[in-house]
Amino acid sequence: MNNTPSLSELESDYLSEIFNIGVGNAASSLSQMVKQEIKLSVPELSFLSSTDLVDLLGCTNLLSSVSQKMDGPFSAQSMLLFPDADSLEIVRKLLGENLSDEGIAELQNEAMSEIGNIVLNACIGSLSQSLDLNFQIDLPEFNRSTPDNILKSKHLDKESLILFIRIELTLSESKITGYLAFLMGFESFSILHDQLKTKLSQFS
Amino acid sequence: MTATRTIQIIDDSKVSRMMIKAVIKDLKPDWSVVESGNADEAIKQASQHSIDYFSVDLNMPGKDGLELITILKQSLPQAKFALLTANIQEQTHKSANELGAACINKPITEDSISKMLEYFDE
Repeated sequence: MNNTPSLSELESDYLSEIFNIGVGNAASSLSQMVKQEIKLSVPELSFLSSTDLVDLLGCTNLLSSVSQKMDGPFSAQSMLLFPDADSLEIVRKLLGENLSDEGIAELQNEAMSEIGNIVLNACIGSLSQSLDLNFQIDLPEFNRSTPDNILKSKHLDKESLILFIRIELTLSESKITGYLAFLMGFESFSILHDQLKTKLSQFS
Repeated sequence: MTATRTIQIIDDSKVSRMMIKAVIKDLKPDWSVVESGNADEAIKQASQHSIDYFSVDLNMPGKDGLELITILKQSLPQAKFALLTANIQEQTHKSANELGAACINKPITEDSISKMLEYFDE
């Protein structure tokens, strides 16, 4: 059974632009926090199964993730993922270069939860504003583990889809790759898809 | 002002171009619109049309909006430029101002595009 959702080129373009705006807004807030310019790549969007995602991120690689459940006309588990070393680099930029490695590691949970909260809320906000949908957003949860374990902790069923977005951030000289993932059931995807079609029909 | 003008919309997102164009067609029905999906295409098309105003997306694959404005300004010093972005970082605004371009915040709405058109009409 092939459950890969099919978005038209225009629908996919629109969804990418929605995340481009969300991530752009988040970068503005983060830039004020780290007091330096953050450059962003154009988000690359794809749909994956959980197996694809684990393969793509490397099954033994350590990741830092922040997740927030969103509930509304459809529900999804929104996640911000960074390779663990990149996540520590962001925390260092955020809290200052003077902290020891132990100090950085100790504060990683709190700092990443805050960053995740900003980025995920900005993206959900952009989705909500563009598609005229309202969502309730739960508190951020931090997790540091392999991709497999992170996904297992979200109790995904086999039918779940992952809307996956890859973004490159450049902070000073550090190039950091981050990922956004929205884990959702097929029914939720259909509601999102219908709303994309409705909005697009208004300006095409 | 009723004079016909030509505006070039440069954005890698086709949907964004459609949204910007819809507002322009509504508010400035006499204006001609040229669309480009990336900086290289924009440079080529700008040399083939007589463009008065440019609506430029910041975040595009290849050359970004600021690089594109820098290039276009050299051959079109009289044209007016607006940089459209969700990235409202101080540095972005500063770079746009240094180039003499207005910064217009995304998302694309009738309000944001009206602001851009007001700037072009000044």
